[in-house]
Order: sequence, then structure tokens, then C-alpha cells
Amino acid sequence: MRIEKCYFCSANVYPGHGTMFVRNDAKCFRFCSSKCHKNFKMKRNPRKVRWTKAFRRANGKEMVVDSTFEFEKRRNVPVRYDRELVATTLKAMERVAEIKAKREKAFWKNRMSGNAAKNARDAALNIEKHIELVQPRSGTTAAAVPNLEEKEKIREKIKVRAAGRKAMALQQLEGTNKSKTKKESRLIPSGGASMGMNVD
Amino acid sequence: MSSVAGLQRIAPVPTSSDFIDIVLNATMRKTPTVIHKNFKISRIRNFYMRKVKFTQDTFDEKLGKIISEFPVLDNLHPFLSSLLNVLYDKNHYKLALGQINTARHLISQVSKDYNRLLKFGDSLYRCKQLKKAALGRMATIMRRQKDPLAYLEQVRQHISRLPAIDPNTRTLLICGYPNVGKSSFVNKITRADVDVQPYAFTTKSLFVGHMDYKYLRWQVIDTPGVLDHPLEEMNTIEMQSITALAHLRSAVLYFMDLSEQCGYTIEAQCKLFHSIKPLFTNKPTILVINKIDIVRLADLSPENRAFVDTILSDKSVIVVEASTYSEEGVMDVRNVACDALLAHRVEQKLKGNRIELVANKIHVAVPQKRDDLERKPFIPDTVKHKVKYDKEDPNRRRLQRDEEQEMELSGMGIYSADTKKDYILADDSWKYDKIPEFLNGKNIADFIDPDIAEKLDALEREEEALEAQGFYESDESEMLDSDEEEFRDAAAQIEKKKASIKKISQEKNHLQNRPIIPRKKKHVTLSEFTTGMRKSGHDPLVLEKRAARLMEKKKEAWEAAEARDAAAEAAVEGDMDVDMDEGVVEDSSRPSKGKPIRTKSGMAVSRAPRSNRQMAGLATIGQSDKANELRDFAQRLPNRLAKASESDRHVPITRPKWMLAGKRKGGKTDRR
Amino acid sequence: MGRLRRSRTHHARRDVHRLARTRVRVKDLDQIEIDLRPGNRAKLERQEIDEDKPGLGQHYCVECAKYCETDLALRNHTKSKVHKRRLKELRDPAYTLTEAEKAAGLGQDNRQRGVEEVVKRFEGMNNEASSNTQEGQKEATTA
Repeated sequence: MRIEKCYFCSANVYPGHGTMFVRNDAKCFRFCSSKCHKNFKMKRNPRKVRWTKAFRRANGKEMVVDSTFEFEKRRNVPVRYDRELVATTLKAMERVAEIKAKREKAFWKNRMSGNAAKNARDAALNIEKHIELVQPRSGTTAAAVPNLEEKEKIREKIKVRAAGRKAMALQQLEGTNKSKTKKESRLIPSGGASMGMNVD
Repeated sequence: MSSVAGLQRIAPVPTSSDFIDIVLNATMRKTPTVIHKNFKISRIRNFYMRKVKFTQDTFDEKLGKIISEFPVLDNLHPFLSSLLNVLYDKNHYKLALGQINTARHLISQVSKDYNRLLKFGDSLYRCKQLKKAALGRMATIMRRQKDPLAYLEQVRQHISRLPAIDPNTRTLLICGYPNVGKSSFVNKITRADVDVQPYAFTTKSLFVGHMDYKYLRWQVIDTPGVLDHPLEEMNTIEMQSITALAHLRSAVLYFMDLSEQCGYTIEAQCKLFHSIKPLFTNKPTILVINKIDIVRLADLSPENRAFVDTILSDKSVIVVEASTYSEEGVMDVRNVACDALLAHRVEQKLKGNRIELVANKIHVAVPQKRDDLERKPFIPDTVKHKVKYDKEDPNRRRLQRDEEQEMELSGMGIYSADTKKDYILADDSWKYDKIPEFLNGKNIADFIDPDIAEKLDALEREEEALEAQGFYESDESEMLDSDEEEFRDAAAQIEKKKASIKKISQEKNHLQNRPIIPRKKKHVTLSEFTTGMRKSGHDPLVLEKRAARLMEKKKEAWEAAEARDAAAEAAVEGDMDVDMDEGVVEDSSRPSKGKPIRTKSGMAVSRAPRSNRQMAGLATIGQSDKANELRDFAQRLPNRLAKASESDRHVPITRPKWMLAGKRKGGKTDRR
Repeated sequence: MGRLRRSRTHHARRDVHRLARTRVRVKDLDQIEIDLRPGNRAKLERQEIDEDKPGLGQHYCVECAKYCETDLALRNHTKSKVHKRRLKELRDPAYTLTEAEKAAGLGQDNRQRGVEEVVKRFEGMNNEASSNTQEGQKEATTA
């Protein structure tokens, strides 16, 4: 028994689950769900459908080159059973998963690193618009339940702060726009710590 | 079965008068017969047109059948073609068929013409006359075909009696002067029963006999005798022999009678041989000296011998002696002839290009030796030294089958073969390991790699290097000041709140078709209201105070009303038989009748009725008891019938259809 | 609510439901990619006469895996939007099951272990053989 991968979205297909389509040239296509099956029947290209792993991979949303990928492979050549080997494999699997998760997190952070100014601007805009939704945090005022005037005061303060942040963010954004006319991808690491280090 | 190979069976050809009868009869039988003059004219026309057309069709079909059934001479095997030519005269035959064909055309022409005329027939009578004329002309045409039809019938009969000669098989052809013993020879070697008589031209046509030699089927053709005169002067009987000689690929057996009992001299016989010799080319020729019981070749006089030698000078001619009378050498003749023919046929096949087709299919490859090294087949030692399994041997190998039998005999249960027993592993104790398949949603088999340890090592080293470089260090760990923190918190709050509002709004769509209580009408408790206000940042203190005040008033009013009621009741109970005046006085203290009683808060206060109406009109409690009893009695029947009230006239269904009709499936009749 | 738009919806994509049946599934892009290889392509374009196929199987569009009735229809088809769109789709390598597995982080390993020497020897032999044949061809061309 094997955990197969869905042809369309590359999700796991556990034994006894999902659907399989066998084409008339004997190729097997497994599907995790009817959704994937229907999309396949409609002849959609998974690379163009945003929710699939193939899309995320093709468009740099996920780590593609990494030495952790060297471990999990479909082995088409059999290896004789060895208890020690299986034991080390089990240990290695856990460790590899750990490292992989760590690197994926780093990758994500790297990918999102350029959004700080934009996020700050959006947050400031939100606060300006919907300041009445903000409740003072506990500990900011002396009274356990602040009265209305106090609240108003705190809100005013936050609003002023937000305006300042907004201005700062806009400035930053403008600066980046000026410096880089062409949008540079953050997905390709520029020197230094590269994601894809070769083992051998 | 076809009478002659290559000729199909031909249906009998009727005479012309019969022909006409048949067709007209069919027309009468198969077309409608009832017609009246007052029918619609188009119907009358159609009626007669149909008759004419049908007659023509029938003629056409029958004549076409004759034409297609008689063989076309040019398409036949040359032998059959020329045989038919000799027997029936090709020209005559063709002419007859041509005439029939013309008749067919003429008839169709007549029908066409008269159909055209019938379209203009304006009465039944005229139409009938036209039809009569048309059929009459057709019959006349057919009557003129009397001779060709008669001739064709004769030909058909003759063809059906022709012997079944297959022009392509192994054939022995026997020829010679009349009376030399050809037919007796055929009678000897085959089962044919050819008439043998002591006069010339006993055999007037070709005869066929069959025999077996070397498990093959042979046909022997007996031909009529031939006289030695030019081809033009030969009669039909002789010509048959000549056609057979000319067109059949066969072995020719030329019979000679040295005793001259047949009435022809040896010289004449030899001359005949020479004159028909051109027909023997490319055919194995055997000279059969018959009647050796009377004269043998050796006994011949020198001058006669010289004649025979002129034949024998050709080396391809084989001489065999035989006597059909004493049966001496008959089988020899047959064997020699057959062998010669077989050899000849094989030779012919070798000359043709068909042999190559066969030869190409057979190919035996013999690999060339590249060196002198001896390359023996490899047999492993274990196989070489394996002792052959012997059931009787007490030290024989134990098979799984033995184990199975043992187990079954001992009654230990069912044997199941152990497939893991013979695993070849580094450690025998691993054989029965339960191998794990999955771990955390991954196939373990996908990770099993003999050099996984090294790879993992390399990965760890890489990881250390990355850590040292500070790849994983977070740049957001700097301390935030409180203002910044507040800002972020506010943003997060808004984010959260917006999300929840969005969610509620989207969930509303689920209720599309369900009744929604409007917000106005919804019951909202005070606590719900105030907590909601507090959450959204408003102070509900004023509201709460007001609500408490209202509540207080309400309570007071209620208590007052309670007190009043209690007092009134006490008054009623206290003086039961006080006259109504007091009640009236009391009433006056209340607000006037018709207006609802309202408290200060504006809420209506429920008013209990002043007197018990049930007791109205009853003097004593005893009377009231009696009344109750009577009422209960009266209600017994309606109660038993489960009537809703006095006015309930409903008659329940006594035999409900849902319970009694339909298939019995959901239980018994009384409890469905 | 109700339907919003009836026109301008198909973009030359007609009868999507028929195409979505698995019963008579038309060729996928990866199969067509194989068909497009020179040898296969020539074979498909010069098919034997087959009565069961449209136009006796004489007018076949390899890219769209489609038989046309006449040569004119085929020529018109090659000029059509559907055909051009298919050409565009075929520009990228087709999506296959291996790619799906790769996207899930599952690679392929076909390495022979413990028989590397043998494999190497065989490969060497093959290379020699192929180089020999190439040389032979060269000679032939020069001659």
C-alpha cells in the first residue's frame, strides 16, 4: 500500500480514498476529491489553477530547490530489506521533516519581507476608517472599565499615531517605487544564504 | 454437386409455349383481377399498367436467368471451352443466347411503349385492349424463340451428363486407335464402368474414372479412339479426344495393339502417334504396348519393330508392356505413368517462380564460429549436484506438500504456505519483521535509501553552516515601543472585528428562504442589550437606570393589584349572600365598564370575573353536582367516539385505503 | 438572481459537458506531445484509409487530435481560434503525473545500486556503438 499523490492538486490520497481514472493508454490518474476529478475532466491545466501545488510551485510560492528534497523519492529500483536501514530511515524522516519545515518558514518570511510598508499603510487606513471598533487594551487605563471620555481620548491617540505611520509607509513605498522601476522578485535569493545548497 | 467442374447446374429451359403459359399464369395469379369501369380512370390505368409491367418483369427475370446460367465459353477453362465448342458449336450456342437476349430487350421495349400508351387510355375498355395487345406482342416475341429455347434445353441436358473432369488435377489421359483396349484399361485401374465392346468407337465421348495412388487422388480420362486423318476431317467423337489431349496437363498414355486385332496395322498406329505427337509436348508420354498376352514387343518382326523404334527414338517416351486381358503389367503401367507425371509436375513447379515464395519462408541460420573457444552451457553447481527427487527414497527432500499433508492428517488445521521462509536477508531474524509503511503522511518506502546516513550527515552539516550564517535569524525580534504595540493591537482588533462582521453577513445568506424575525420584533433581554453596547464601546448606564426604575414601578403596581384582588375575594367569600348593592358600590370604585384597566406604567392588568358563571341559575351546590353529572353522562358517547365537540359530525374512515390497499410489504394489515 | 449572461460566454469552447465525459475522452496534451514527435507525426498525417473515421482518416490535425472531413475543413481548422489556442497550450511541456508528484515534494530515483559497474560498461558499449554508427553515417554522407 502507498499514499499516492493527487494528479491535480498533489495532495495525499490515502488507501481506500479518492478516485482513480485509468486512461486508455493504461496511465493511472488518482484524485483526492471529486473537485480534482471534475477539474481533470474539464481538462484544466493544474499549473494554471491557483489552488494547486503545481501552481504554487510554478509561480514561486513555494520552495523548489532545496537539499531536503533529496530524500523523498519514488524508488523504482527495489532495495533489499534491512532492519537497521529502516530504523535510520525512520529517524532521518523526522529530522528531515523538521529541517524542511524550518526552511519553508524562512522561505515564507523571505517571500513576505517586502510587504512591511504596505501592511503598515493598510493597517493605518483601517484604523482611520473604523476607529470606533477599537477598544482600549487592558492595562492602558487606570480604571478597570474606562468611561467614554477616556476611551475617546485613547482612540484619538491611536488615530494620530496611525496617521504618522501612514505617512511613513507611503514615503517608504514611494522610495521603493522610485528606486526600482521594475519589480524585482524576492523569490530568488540575491546572494548570501542561498536556499538551494548542493550536498554533493 | 456440379456435374462438370467449372460448370454450374443449369435449371431446365421450358419450351416457348410453356414459357408463355408460365408467365401469363404468374401475371394472372400475382396481380389484382377485379376492375370496374366506374372506377377512377387513374386506378384503371394503374391496374393495367401494372399487369403489363409485371408480365415484362417476369419475362425479363426468367430470360435473364437463362442467360446468366448458361456458361460463357470465353470465361471457361480452355479445355471446357473447346470441348463445348466441339460438342455444341460455339457459334450456334452464342447465337441462341444472343437471340434470347434480344427477345428480352424487345419485350421490355414493348412494355415501355404500351405503358406510355396506357397513360392516355381514357376508358376501361381501351386500357384493356392496350394490355391485351401488349401481352400479345410479348407472346409473339417469345413464340419466335422456339428454336433457340429448344436448342438450349438440349445443350443443358447434354452438359448435365458431361463427366466431371477437373482440368487442374493429376490426370492420366488414355488415347490411341479404336479398339486397342483403352476402355478396358480404365475399367481395370479405376472403378469406372466404361462399356467395352469388340467394335470400333464403342466409346463415343470422354469418360472419367478415379483412383488412388501414393495417397493422392488421380483422374483417368478415357478418350474415344482417334483415326489418322487431318484435323479438319475429324468428327465430333475424335475431336473430343483431341481437345482433351490439347488442353489438359496430364500424362499421356498412348495405347498400341501390336497384335493388330483392332484392325489397324502397326504402321498406321505409329503414324498416328507421330501425327498427334505435337499435342504431347510438355507432357510425360508413355507408350503402352497392350495385348502382350498375344504379341510382345520382343516378338515383333524387324520391319514392324522399325516402326515402333521411330517412336522410341524420342528418349522422353517410356515404353511399358501390359495386358488388360491377363492383367499383366497393368499396375506397372499405372505406376510408371503416375510417377512420371508427379516428377514432371514437381519439375514444372521448380521452374516457376512460386517455388521461391515457398523457399523464402524457410531459413536456417547457422551462426559462424568467431573463434575456437569452447562455450559450454552454464549449469550452476547446485543444480548439478541436486539429487533427483524420488518418492520412495526415505532420505528424500521434504516438500511443502509433505508438510501440508502432515498437518491435515494430524488435524491441526488448515495449512498455509509460508512465503517469508525463504527470504534472503542479511539477518535471518528479520524475516518476520512487520515493515512499517507510513509515517506522518509519508511513504517510508520513498525514503529508504542505502546511503541515507551520509545524505543526512551532509544535510546536518549544511544546516549548521546556514545557522552560522544567520540564515534563520529573525529581524523582527526588536523591541516594540508601547505606542507601536497599541497601534498594531488596534489594527488587529479591527481586522478581527471586520472578519466577524463579514462572516455574519455571509451567513445571513443561508437564511434566504426561511422566515426571519425582524429586529424590531425580536425579543432582546436587557443584559444582552447592554453587553452588546459595552462591547461596541458605548456606556449603557443611563439605559440600565431607566430600566431599573420602570421595573420598580411595575412591581409596585402589580403588588397593589394583588392586594386588591385578595381583598375582593375575601369580601366575596365573607358575605356570600350579601345583596348586590355592596357589589355595586364596590364596582363604582373601579373605572367604568368598557375601558381597559391600566396601571400607571400603562400595562393592562388582568381582571378576574366577579362571579362564577357556572353557578349562575343554580340555587344549591347539590344542583350544581347534579348538573355536572348530567353533563358527563351526555358526553359519554361523543367522548367514546373521540368527538371534538357537540358540533363534530366527522365520520372517520372505517377502512383506510393506506392500510388496506396495495402490496403487503410494510408489515401485517392491522399494524401498518 | 437568475442568469446574467448568455452571449459571449463560450469563446469557441462548445459543448463542454460532452468533452468532460470520461467515456469518450479525447487525447490529453501529454499524449499529443508524443504524437508531435517527427516520426509519429508523419505516421498520423499519412494514415491508411479507414471507413470508420471521419473523412476516411485522411485529414487529421495532430495538435487537436481531430479528424476533418475534407482538406478544406482541415485548412480552415488550422486557421481557427481553437487550433491556435491549442498551439499555445502545447508550447509548454505537458503536465504529467511526475510533475504532480514533484509538486508534492516527491522526486524520482531510478539508480541501480550494486550494479553500477555493469551499467557503466553497458553504457560505454552503447556509446561506442552509437559513435561508430555516427561515424559510418558521416562517411556515407561525405562519400
